[in-house]
Formats: sequence, C-alpha cells, structure tokens
Amino acid sequence: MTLPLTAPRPRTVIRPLRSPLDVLVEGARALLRYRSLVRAMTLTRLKVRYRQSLLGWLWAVLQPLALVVLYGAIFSHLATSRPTPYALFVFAGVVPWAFCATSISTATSGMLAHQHLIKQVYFPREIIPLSFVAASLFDLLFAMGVLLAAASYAGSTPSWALLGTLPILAILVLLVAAICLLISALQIGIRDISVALPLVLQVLMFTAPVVYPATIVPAWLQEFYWLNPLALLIEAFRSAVLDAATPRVGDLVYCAGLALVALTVSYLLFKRTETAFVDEA
Amino acid sequence: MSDIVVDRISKRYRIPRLREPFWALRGVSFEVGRGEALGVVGANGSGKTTLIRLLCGITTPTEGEVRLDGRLSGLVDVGAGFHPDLTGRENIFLNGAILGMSYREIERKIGSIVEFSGIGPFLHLPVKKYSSGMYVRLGFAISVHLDTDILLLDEVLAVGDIEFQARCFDRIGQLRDSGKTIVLVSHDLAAIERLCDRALLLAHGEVTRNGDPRAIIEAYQEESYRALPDPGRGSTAQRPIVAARLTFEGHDGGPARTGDPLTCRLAYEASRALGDVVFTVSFNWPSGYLCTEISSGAGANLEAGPGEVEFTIPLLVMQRGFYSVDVAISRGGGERLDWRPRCSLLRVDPGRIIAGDFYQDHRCQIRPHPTGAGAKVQHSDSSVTRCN
Repeated sequence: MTLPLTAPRPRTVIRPLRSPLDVLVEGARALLRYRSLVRAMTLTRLKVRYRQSLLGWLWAVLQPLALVVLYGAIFSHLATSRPTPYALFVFAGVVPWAFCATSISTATSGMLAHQHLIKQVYFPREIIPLSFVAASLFDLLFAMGVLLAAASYAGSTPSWALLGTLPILAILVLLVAAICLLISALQIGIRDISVALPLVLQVLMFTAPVVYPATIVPAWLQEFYWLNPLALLIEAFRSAVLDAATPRVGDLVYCAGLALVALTVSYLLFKRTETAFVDEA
Repeated sequence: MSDIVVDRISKRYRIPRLREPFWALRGVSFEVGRGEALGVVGANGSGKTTLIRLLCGITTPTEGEVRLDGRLSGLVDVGAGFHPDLTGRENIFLNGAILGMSYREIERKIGSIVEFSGIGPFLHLPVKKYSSGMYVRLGFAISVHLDTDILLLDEVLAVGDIEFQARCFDRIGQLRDSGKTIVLVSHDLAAIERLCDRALLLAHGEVTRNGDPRAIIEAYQEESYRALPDPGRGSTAQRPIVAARLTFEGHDGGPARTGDPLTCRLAYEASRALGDVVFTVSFNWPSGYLCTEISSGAGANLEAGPGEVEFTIPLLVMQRGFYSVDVAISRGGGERLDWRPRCSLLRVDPGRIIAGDFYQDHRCQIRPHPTGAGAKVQHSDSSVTRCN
C-alpha cells in the first residue's frame, strides 16, 4: 500500500433521510468521485453489446434502418410535403427515438440485472442507468453519421444548422436520463413496469413525430401535441438535419427547463428508493 | 481516535405479510479505533449482514448514524461486480472502478493485482470461462489493492485453496500492520482470533459482548452449544446400564486448565451384572470434529448397581475454549449400551500460555558449548530452562 500520509481521509456519515439539497450536493460529489466507474460501466455496455454479435457496430444502424423500412412501407402514402424522400424523413426521426427507446429499456432492465451487485457494494446507483444512456448515446452518434451521409447523398447540403443538433441532443440526453431514473426508481415498488414498458414505449413513439409528419395531427390536438418535449426535440432534430433549420430558442428553453426539473425530481426520487433496492428488492 | 463510530443504530425491515416490523439491529453502538482490527461474530440472523451493509453505505439505518473517518472498502462478495463476457483484464478495470478506484490507480496496480491473483495466463479470457476459485482469487486480488483506510472483510477467508488462504492471511496481516482499520465478520473463529484485537458478539440484533476476541469467541461458542437441540436419548428404562453423571475437576478442585491435571468422573447405574464394558468420553471441537477421546480401555466386568469411573489426565493439552462432550458405554465388541452425544460442555480455562491448537508438553535446554559442533552461543547461563 503506497498511500501517502497526507492523503485526505474522506469523512462519511451514514444516516437516515437527508434534505433534498444535501442529496443533490452529496450526489454530485459522489458522481464526480466515481467518474471512473461511469466510464468503466459505459465501456462495459458497449463491449458486451457488440462483442458476441457478428455484425457488431452495424447494429447501431441496422436497428433504426429496420424501423425505417417497416414504417416506410406502411406510411409511404403519407404526404410529407418535403423534397426529401419519406424513408429519409423517417430515418431522421427514428435516430433520436431509437436513442430514447434503447436507453429507457436497457436502463430499466439493467437495474434489475445488477441487483446482486447493488446488495454487495456501495457506489452511486444512478451510474447503472446512466451508463446505459451513455452507451446508447454512442449508438446515436454512430447512427447520426450514417444519417448525415444518407442526407447528403439524397441532396441536402450540410450546413451550420447542423450545430443546432448539439443543444437538441444535450437536452434529449437530460430528458432521457430523467425518464430512466424515474422508471428505475418506480419499478422497485411496481414490478409491472418492466412488463408494461415495451407497450409504453410503443405508445410514446406515437406521441412524437417519429414516423409520421406532425402535419397529420388534428388541429384541435396540435396545442397539446407540442407540449410534449419529445415531440419538440425530435421535430427540431429532423429540421436541423434535413431542412437546415436552426431550432427555435423558445422551444429549446422550454424543453431544457422541463428536462432539468424532471431530472431533479426523478433523481431525488431515485435516491430516496436507493436503499429500497437493497432492503425490499 | 476512532475511524468508525457506530452510534445507536437500528435497522427495521418491513416484511410483507408480517404485521410486526422486523428489527435486524437495535441500538447498536461501538467504535473501532484507527489501526484496530475488530472481529464480529454471531449466529445466523444475528444482524451481521445488516451491519456490514450499513457500514458500507449500501443501506441506511432507520435510526442512529455511522460516522466513518477515511475511505472504507467492503470486501463482501468478491467478484460480484464481474461481467461474465468481459476478460479478466477488463473486469479488473470494471471491478476496481466499482470499488472506487480511479482508472489511473488501476493502471498502476494491474501488474501487482494479476500477480497476486495468479491468473496470469488467463487474463485475456472472458471470466465466464474461469473456475470459481479463479473468480474469487481475482476478486480478492483487486480488493486488497485498494488504497483504503478501513477494510471490511466478510467471510472472504473461507474461499480459495490453502495456499491462497495463506496469502490472504499474510496480506490482511500486512494491511493491519500498516495501520489500516479492519472489520472482519466471519464464522471462522480461528481467523477472528488470529487477526483481531477485539471482537463483538451480536445476538438478535444487539451487541451482547464486546472485548477480547478469545473471550468473545468462547461466549459465542457457549451460546451456540446451548442453542443446539437436545439430541434426545429416548427411554433409558430398558438399558442395562446408563451414564448418570459426568463431572470434571481441575487441579485442586478448580476449573480445567491447559497444562494442569484434570480428573473426569463418570457415574453409572447398572441394572444387572455386565461383562466387557468400555467407557469412552469424547471431546469435540466447536466445529463438531472429534478433538480427543479418553477411554477405560479393556472391557471391565461390572456388578449390578451404581458405580463410578475415574479418568485421570495428568496434563491437559487441550487449548482453552469450549468442547462438547459425548459419553459412550459399550461392549468391547462395539455394541452400544448407552450413548449420550453432547451431554456436557467442558470449559478449558487458559493455563499455560500457548498458541495453536494444543499444548505440547516440553522441556528445553540451552547449552553454551554444544558437543561436536563449534557453534558460538552467546548465552552464558547454562541452567536448564523449562519453557512456558
């Protein structure tokens, strides 16, 4: 052991419920201390996911492409009033959606898969769902590369508007992280969640303009439709990639605010149920 | 200065379909000083696992608090964090990170970890192909390389082969000597005695004893013996002979002591005259294994009526502690007439200070000029010394 005598000895107090502010501050500090674990767990997800598959990383693209083909065949009659082909239109929606769906489903099942570990060692538990989100983000970036290639092949020239996808994706990551933490926390008490999740995700997909253009949403519903940050973000993402449109600042601020509130609330809830993972699961 | 302060902690579990809440721990307080090695013993269900989980921060107490001064690493189920599809090397990084090591720290220590684990040639194989022993060794190797201030060990010594266990003992000893604070929770009482400065006895979620490991182990053993079910001996009516009473008497009527003489008297009641009778008294280790046995030897011929067998042990070699005692009365041919398993408990008090399992009676002489060899011996005292 080569511990220098001057190394600071961290002081820890383990006690029942703390105030929400303490939870946030302590949580941020712990996450910083365990940043190596975030990295190691994310790498594990990536390695494990593709290690034993023949096609490896291609799956990151094949999954959205399969959806594109499927929905392309079903909805091809829908007028998109765009110069771009419908398949590309769907692809641009499916790429961010696949990120949401993969993150949420893998993070939720990952929490259950790590139960034994959770009972054995302490580490900030949120790292488990977050590592699944991070791993999906790699898929997203990979798929996005293919999307951009396809878009330029179809004739759209890359523009500075593409930079607009950065804040969009950042907000999307926060929002998805919030959803993952929320579902992970809830499923300890309510096991039905993991069973119902595929259905919920299916429904969630249709609340956003992933495979259909938002123009087909009835006028009376439009007002509510655009309250959904997922719908706003996916639409903005597609516009930035295909139409070189810069996202509207108002929309971004609305989504970012909502994502931050959701993240705070679901993080606090997650931390509250953290010991329940051990005590009741 | 205390590295661990456990301040009146209680832990309540809600158990479905049970209206009463279950208190796994109730009002537990203790401290562990810097550099001290504390052993925790207790029967299953006494709250050891809950205590470990609380110390690790895996769960929080219902009441009270735990204050830790320094980095604590729990070594609970080594290898719990392994991913079967990753290679040994990749798992070192993953598991190290789970235990709180930084990437650089692991990079720096990976050579030493691999060497300690002895899995060198299999480092690039997925761990799902490892044997369970390799799994555990790799897990343990990572854990002992933590730059930790407080080390929590739970039953880890029960794994691995003899050579690896010896290495673990050495490593834990090194860590202790380098001033780490250690908490060892184990059913391996020998390990507790060997490694710990102090011990706690947990029973039903409370600390019932706290002190010298040897005394705690004895208290725990006694408690365990008392809790053993009576083996049941059925009716004694038809037996031709029954063991009536067993007594032990140490030197000058005192308690049994290592290195002292011991007298053991077995009273019997024979309902008829019997030939070729052998009396045997067996002493068992806490583990249940036979430690030693004394016997009346050749078969004796008894008349009907009460009688007594007196065994004299000139020098008791058994180590201090508790031994359960079996009494058997049988025929020389092996036919059992009366059999009383665990009918008594012998407590051996510390007499001669010894280490190990039993007292080896010995004498020792130091001679200034040994015959033959021309070795130089510094001692000038030529008296014969009897070592204690």
